[in-house]
Amino acid sequence: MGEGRLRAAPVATSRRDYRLQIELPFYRAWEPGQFVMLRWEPHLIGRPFAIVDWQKTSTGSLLEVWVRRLGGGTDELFRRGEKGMKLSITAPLGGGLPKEVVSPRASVLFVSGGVGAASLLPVVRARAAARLAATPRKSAPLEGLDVWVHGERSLGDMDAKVLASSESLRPDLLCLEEKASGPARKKLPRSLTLSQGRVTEALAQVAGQAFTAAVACGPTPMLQALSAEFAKHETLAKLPLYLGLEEKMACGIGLCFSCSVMTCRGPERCCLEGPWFRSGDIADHYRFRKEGG
Amino acid sequence: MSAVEFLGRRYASPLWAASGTFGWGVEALDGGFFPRKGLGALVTKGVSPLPMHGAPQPRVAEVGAGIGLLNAIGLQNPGLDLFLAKYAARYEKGDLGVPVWVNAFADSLEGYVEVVSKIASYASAGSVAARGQWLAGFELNVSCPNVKKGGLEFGSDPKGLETLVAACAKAAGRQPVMVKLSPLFPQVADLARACEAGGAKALSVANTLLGGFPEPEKIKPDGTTAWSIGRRFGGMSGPALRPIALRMIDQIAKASPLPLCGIGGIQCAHDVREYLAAGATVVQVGTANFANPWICDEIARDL
Repeated sequence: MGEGRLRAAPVATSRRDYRLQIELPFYRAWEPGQFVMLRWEPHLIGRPFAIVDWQKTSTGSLLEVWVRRLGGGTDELFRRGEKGMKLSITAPLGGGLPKEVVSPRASVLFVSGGVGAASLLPVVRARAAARLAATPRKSAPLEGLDVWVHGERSLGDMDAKVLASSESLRPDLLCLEEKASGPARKKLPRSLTLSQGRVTEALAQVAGQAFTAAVACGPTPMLQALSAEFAKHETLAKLPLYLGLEEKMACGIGLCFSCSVMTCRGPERCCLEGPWFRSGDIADHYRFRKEGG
Repeated sequence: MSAVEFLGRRYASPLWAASGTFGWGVEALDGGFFPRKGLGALVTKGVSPLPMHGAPQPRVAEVGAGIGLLNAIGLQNPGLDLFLAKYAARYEKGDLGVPVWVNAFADSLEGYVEVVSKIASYASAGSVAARGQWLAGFELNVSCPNVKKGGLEFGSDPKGLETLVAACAKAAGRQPVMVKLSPLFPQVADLARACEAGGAKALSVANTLLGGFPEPEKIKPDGTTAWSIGRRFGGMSGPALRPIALRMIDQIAKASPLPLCGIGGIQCAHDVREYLAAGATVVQVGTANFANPWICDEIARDL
C-alpha cells in the first residue's frame, strides 16, 4: 500500500476507455491476473482495476491500468485526472492465473468483453515471453497456438491497444462487434478478423482447435452466456475455463465481504479467493448475485 | 497515545476495529495489513447460530464523494460452529495479539443465547495458557438495518431489549455484554436504560443509518431504475454518521452511567477527540479501515 502519481493526464484509447500510467516510489512482484485498488481524494473507498503492466524504473516503478468510463468515479477520474494527481494504491491483490494457463506448452483460448481485455493482456504477454524463451522465434510467438476472441458493443469501443498488442504478440485475434458501426471503420491489423455478433457465437469457429485451457474476462452476462455455450461444445466442455469476476469492492483485501462469489465450496471473496474462478465451481453465483443467499 | 481501561480491562489503544469492517481479523493478519500498536481490540463480524450467505450484489456503494458508504452485506458469516473452528481457534492461539469482542446476532432470543453461551463456553474451556483471555466480551447487534428479519425488532422496543440483554448477560457468564444501538430510533435514552436494567456493561453507539439511492442512468431490462445496492436499502456509515452518533452519545451519557464506545465516521484523531469529549471512553473505527487498514496506527500517532 502506498501513494503514486499520475504520469500524465488520462489518455483516451477508445470512445469509452482510457489508460492510466501511475508512477510509484516502490515496486512489488506481481502475476498476470492480479489487480490493484486505486483511491483518490475525497473518496472513502478505492476501486479495483486489473494490472495491465507494472515495470521497475530508475525511481521506483510504473503501473498501467485501463479504465472504461462507466459513469460515477470512472468518469470523474477521467475528468479530474492530470499529471501529478495523487492516488492511493494497494497492490498487487488477488490470486494470479494458474500456471497451466501461463505455461508455454499450453494452448489457450482467451475470451474478453470490453475492458475485460485488460485482465488478459499480461498473461498473453507472459505466454509470448515464455514461448520465445522456450522456442526462440523472432516474431508471432503465439500465432497458431492461442486464439483471442474479443467482443465490443461497437467498433468505436474497440480499444486501440488490444489491437496493437495483438499485432506484436500475435495470438489469432478474432474481434466481434455486437452492433454494426458506420462506414468510418478503423484500420485493422492484418492478423485480425472482424465479425459481427457476440463472442459466444464465435466459439463454433474455434471449438475444433486443441486448446488446453480457456480464460475469460468481461461483463457478468457475457461470462454466464459463455459458460453455457462452452457446455454445448463437445471439445470446449472438457476444457478448464477460468473466469475473471468483477464484483464491486470496498477494500480489496478481504475485510468488507462486499465482493462475495457463491462457489461450490460456499461463499468466497472475489478479492481474496478470486478473482479467477473455475466456471464449474460458480454455477450458482449468477442466481446468488441477483437474489442473495 | 496512552492505553485505556474499559470495563476493568486494559487496552493498548482506545481505537478498536468496528464489526463488519475488519473481517475476522485473520485476513488482515495473513495479508500483512494488520495494524501494529494502534489497534486496541477487534470487534468481529456478526456471528449467527447458522451460516448466512448474505445479500445480493452489489453490496456496497459510496454516497457522493467522501460523504458516506452504503452497504448491505446481509451479515454473511459462516455460522457459530465454523466460527469456533476457523476463527476462535486462531484467537485462542493469540494470533491477533489484541482482545476480541464477538459481535453476536440472531433472529430470536434463543439464537442470541446460543451464540453467546457457546462462545463463552469455548473460551473458558480453552487452554490453560490462553484462559479465554482473547475474549473481551460480546457486542450484541440489535440494530442492523439490512437483514430481512430480527435485529431491529429487538433494538427498538425497550422492554424486549431488556429481556434479550438479560438472557445474553446470563449466557455470557463472566464476560461483559455491550449493546450496539441504532440511530434509527428517537428513544435512545429509554433504550440505554433498558440495556442497563438487563445487565449490559457498556453500550456501543451507533450502528448504521438505513438509506438508499437510485441510479437514474441505469435502467434495468424491465424498464425500472436500478438502485445502487442489491437490497435497495442498506446501512449508511462514514463521516455523515458522526454528528448523529455524537448526538446519541450526549443523550445517553446523560441518561445512563454505562461506559460508551463511540462509532461512526471516525477518520482522524480530531474525530476521536470529539467522541471522547462527548462522553465515549473508547471508539471503533469502521469505514476508514477499507481505504487504509493501518488507519488506527496513524490515528494513534496523532492522538
